[in-house]
Amino acid sequence: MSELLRVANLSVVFDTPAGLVHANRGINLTVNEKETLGIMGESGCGKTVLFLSLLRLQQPGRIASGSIAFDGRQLTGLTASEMQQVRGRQIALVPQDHSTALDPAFTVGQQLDEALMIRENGGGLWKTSLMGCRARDRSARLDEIRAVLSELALGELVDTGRLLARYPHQLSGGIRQRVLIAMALLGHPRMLIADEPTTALDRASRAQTLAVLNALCRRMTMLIISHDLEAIRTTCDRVAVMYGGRIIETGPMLSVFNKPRHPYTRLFLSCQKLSRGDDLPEIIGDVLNLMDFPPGCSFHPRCPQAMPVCSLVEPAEVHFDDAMVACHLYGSGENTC
Amino acid sequence: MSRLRHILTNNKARNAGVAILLLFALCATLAPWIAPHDPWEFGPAFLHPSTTNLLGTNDVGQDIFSELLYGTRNSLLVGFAAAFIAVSLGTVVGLVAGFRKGVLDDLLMGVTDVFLVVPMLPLAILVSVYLGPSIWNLILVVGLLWWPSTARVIRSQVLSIRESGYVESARALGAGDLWLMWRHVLPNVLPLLMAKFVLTVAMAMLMDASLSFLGLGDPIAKSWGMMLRYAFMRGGFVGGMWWWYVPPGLAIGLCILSLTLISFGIEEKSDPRLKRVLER
Repeated sequence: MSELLRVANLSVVFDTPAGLVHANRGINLTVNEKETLGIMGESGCGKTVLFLSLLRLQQPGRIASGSIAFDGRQLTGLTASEMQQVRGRQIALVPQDHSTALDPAFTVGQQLDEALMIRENGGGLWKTSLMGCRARDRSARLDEIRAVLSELALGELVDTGRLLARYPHQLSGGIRQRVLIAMALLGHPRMLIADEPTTALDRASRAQTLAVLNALCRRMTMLIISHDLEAIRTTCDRVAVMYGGRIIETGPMLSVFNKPRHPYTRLFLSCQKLSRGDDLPEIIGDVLNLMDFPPGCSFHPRCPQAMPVCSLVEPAEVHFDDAMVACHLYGSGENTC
Repeated sequence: MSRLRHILTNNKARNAGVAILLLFALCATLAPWIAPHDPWEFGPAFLHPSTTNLLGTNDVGQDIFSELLYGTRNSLLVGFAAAFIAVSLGTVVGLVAGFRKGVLDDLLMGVTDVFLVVPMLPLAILVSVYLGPSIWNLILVVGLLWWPSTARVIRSQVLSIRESGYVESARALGAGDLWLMWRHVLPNVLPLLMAKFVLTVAMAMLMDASLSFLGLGDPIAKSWGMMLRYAFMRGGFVGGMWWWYVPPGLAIGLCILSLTLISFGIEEKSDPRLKRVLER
């Protein structure tokens, strides 16, 4: 398996009137070809800023340091128009909120067609809208759209004419979500980023979307950002856990789920393993304020296993065979559990 | 057919506006055929209304009713052409400023604010004195001076649309700035743009009438403002010849009323929340 994406020491900051917000602090991450990486963590931990920076859409935040190498190419150094070529065609995004991510002024068919035209002619207005329409005839484009949609189990709706002529508000959430996936796939991306693909859906459409993602992740490189543990469990090969703008644990999905190393991961996972009558487990304390970090490990004020050293020294990344954890419990090997 | 009926019964005030405007448009296009006389032809002056001269004649004996019909052409032309220039200009400025933000926005909005605070009529008078009296100069003056309010309104909408999910997701697909503006931002400000355009037509017609009344329009051309001017200068007002000055004034008022009603109708259609406010 070759490496497709390598993020090294990425830091993203936001200048606000109240001060500097450190949304991402020294992120290290690799994604291999055909691998699906799940990123989980509670709200406000920097997941969204992380994937937006991969597309360089993190404005008004700025990348303070670090590098993003995609297929051997540095994305941080690209010009705006070079970056435009990367978006959609190299790295595509499936946005989280399907109710706002489709333009209410156009039909689903027009928007799918738009995704195709951008892939073929680039996102420039003159080239695409003046020549793009003629570049390939409509029926060929329609065939391609139909092929992608039937892969997402929407082909029947296209054939009965119930999908392409519809406006977004006329469709259900599950179908809109899959239309968004189709738009991303039409760009023939090398990597797909799915931002909370199941959070805004009801149970039934969630199951359908998961099935679609599951089929996709077998043949594509994907990055799934979610706090829906079931979505992560069914789709991902590896997972990364974020807290306070850092990645605190990575590892193969099964080993992280079954044997979480970091105390935060353990608590985070236990919050979702509920059976009837249990007390609602919670992680005591609030989500970290990304402007004002405690010294040492940023999780220590909430950590049940905090030691004196935790409030003094920021834990370094400790690497195992195929996993990593940033916690003093695994410091120099004298304390493993 | 049911769709047509829906549109027609939807809003009575707007339909009244459309009907009045259509009537004026009909008069304008058919003026040479329905006008009983050539409005430039001299004849017996100061005639009272009669069956041959429905609204009498003016100081040089031109038929006032025919003048009124021909004047419709001028007023509508100036109104629509000037509004077209003004709204196009305002849209481009508002779109670019709102979408790009930053220094360009500050710069464009600074210029817009300068134009907004300058009293419009005196500036228009000044400019048209320099350019000389003609229809095309009137159109240019009004068109080039009346864009700032459109720019402001469009910019405020663009600021909210550019942050919307669909602009973000199209950008993530690889769309460039121009593409986003043309394909996603502009179509979503279109209803507002239409309402603003219609309102600007009304404003431009009023401005045209004012400038013509002050003698800054083409003295030979027939327009409602010019008719008022001559009625005022050549004793129509003093002599109580209401058939000379009431009809053009009424025509200007009706035209502006109809355009305002249409504009309200469009605005209400694009933002149904306004409906309750207007009905109250």
